[in-house]
Amino acid sequence: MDPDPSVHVPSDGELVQGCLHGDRRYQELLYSRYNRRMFGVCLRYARHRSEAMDLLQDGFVKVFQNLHRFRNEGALEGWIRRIMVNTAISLCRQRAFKDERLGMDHMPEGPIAPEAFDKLSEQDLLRLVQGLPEGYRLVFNLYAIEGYDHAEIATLLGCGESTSRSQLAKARRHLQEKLERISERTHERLASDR
Amino acid sequence: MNGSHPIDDLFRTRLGELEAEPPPGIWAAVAAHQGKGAMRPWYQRKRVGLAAFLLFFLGGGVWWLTTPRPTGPVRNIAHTVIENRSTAIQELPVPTAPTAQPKEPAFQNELGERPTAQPVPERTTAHAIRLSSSQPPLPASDPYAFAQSLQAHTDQLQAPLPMNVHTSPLMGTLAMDSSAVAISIPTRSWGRQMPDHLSTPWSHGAMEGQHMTRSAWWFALQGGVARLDGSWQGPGSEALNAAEKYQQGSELGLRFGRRWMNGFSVGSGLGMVQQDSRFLYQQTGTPTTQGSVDTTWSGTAMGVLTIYTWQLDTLFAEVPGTDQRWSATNRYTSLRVPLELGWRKDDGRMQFGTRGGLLLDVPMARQGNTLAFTGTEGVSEVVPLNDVRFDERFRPSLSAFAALELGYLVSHRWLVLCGPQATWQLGSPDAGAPRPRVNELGAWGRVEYLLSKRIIPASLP
Repeated sequence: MDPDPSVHVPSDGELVQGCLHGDRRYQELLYSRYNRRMFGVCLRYARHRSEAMDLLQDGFVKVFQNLHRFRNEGALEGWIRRIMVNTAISLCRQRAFKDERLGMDHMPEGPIAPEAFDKLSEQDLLRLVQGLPEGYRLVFNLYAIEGYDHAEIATLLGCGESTSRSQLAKARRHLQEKLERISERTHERLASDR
Repeated sequence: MNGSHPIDDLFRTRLGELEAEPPPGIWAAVAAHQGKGAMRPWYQRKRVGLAAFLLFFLGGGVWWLTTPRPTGPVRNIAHTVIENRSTAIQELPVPTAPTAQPKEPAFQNELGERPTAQPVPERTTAHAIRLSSSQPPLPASDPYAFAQSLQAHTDQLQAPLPMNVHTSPLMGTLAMDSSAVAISIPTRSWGRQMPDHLSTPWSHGAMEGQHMTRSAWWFALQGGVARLDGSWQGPGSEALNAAEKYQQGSELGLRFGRRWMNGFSVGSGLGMVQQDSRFLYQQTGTPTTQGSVDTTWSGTAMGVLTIYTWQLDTLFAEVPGTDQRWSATNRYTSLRVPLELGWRKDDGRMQFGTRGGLLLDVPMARQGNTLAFTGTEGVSEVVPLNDVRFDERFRPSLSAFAALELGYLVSHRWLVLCGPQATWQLGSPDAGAPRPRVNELGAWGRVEYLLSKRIIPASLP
């Protein structure tokens, strides 16, 4: 008889086995264990919260449908995270990622003052990432936060490495511009307060 | 970790381990989506399969119990039909010896052959034959002679319908050991000669010597697609109708029933029905007013002094609310139990007919979105469709249906049918909750298997 997951805290392996046996309690436990972290991932890849909810739902549906393919060779969290990222990539592909262009090449890349951003909340930073155009957001998330290199990103997205580099550079410039604007407004506000 | 760009570092450190609480409805939606897959408990996963299994074996059991079977090795014997029973009884003399010669068969046997050699008896019709005590015992050592003499007695005394005689060790023993014995033979006929005058749809051709049953069981696999015309009725139906448009449906199921010589048939079965609708809903957020203050400094040189003045510009702007848009394909799955009455006419291999009846749809699962109405003002909110609060919206429903049939007889037993079908949902909506009323117009197809070999017109190859 399976132990009651509400009393015994099962390991990831036990969770997987319970889910594969169709036990709804283990499935819910797996969801509740990882939903917060995965929703954070989805929020970074989505344009807004509503889209992140869709990503999270689709991602977990895929997780449960493909759980029998999990080989216990790595961490379950990493496996689920990859599914979430792939779900986000699929969504972006549907929106013709390659065709998206935004004229950002003229924007200068200058120094930034990190201390100006200390007061920015995570929600502010998240909003900046969500405000990136689709392609930039995808490459920036994959490279800067997930740690993929350009060759891997090119494989994942079906584009060239040069495209990945270019999109990353544009994403950085875009974010930098936004941050500088925030910085200027902050200085102005401080000056006006004085 | 890639590079050391300050932008990358900033976002990686702040957002890399970001956690956020998702809305509570996500898990319900995920669980509902997995309802048909691996997440379902075994008894739910196998419910449909179990129902089909039971249906198959119950149907098979009914057929087994209601169909008579021979008790020994049988072969066919020529059929003998007495046109005028009373005359035959009066005019034919009672044989004085049990070695009466077999009568000339009136028709071909069911294989289309006239018996040239002495045929071996097949099954028997049901008649009690009493032999006189003065008659010598029937020669049980020769089954054929025994059968023929028995038939001769039968023809003369009772003039039965087509005579199929069954030999068995039991009958032989009775004949040898008793000089006066009553022989009771099962009364049900395995196959009967079809009367010429009976020109019913099923008896098309009415060929002499052909065998067919008066009725037979059939089993069928049926599928169909339909265009849906659905609307909500009851409280909140206006908002629901604006948000949800029914689109198409499909059905797959098993049918069984019994068909008679006159072309009528009744049937029932079990099937799964899937109905899809498109849910589109847009909610406009409340606009807000935001104010901003711009300060402009200006300096005026007054000799050695510079006098600074400032100007404050206050600007108020209305910021529109965030629009939220929900788009989903709603899917309703039901168990369908039909009760049908049909009639069919043969024209060679082609079949034409019609059928109608009732359909009981029992909702099994649903996924997608719907509107919930909260508060006294009836404010609508988008929620997952599988929420238990909405069970009362989806109760079992009864529909009437009518269909036309066009079929083709592939072989003696196999029949392929198709045709248009329309259904109309019956009943009035419950006043307490909105209920969907869905009518269907579509096409269906069926592969039917007849458990008894049916008659084939002679003109067919």
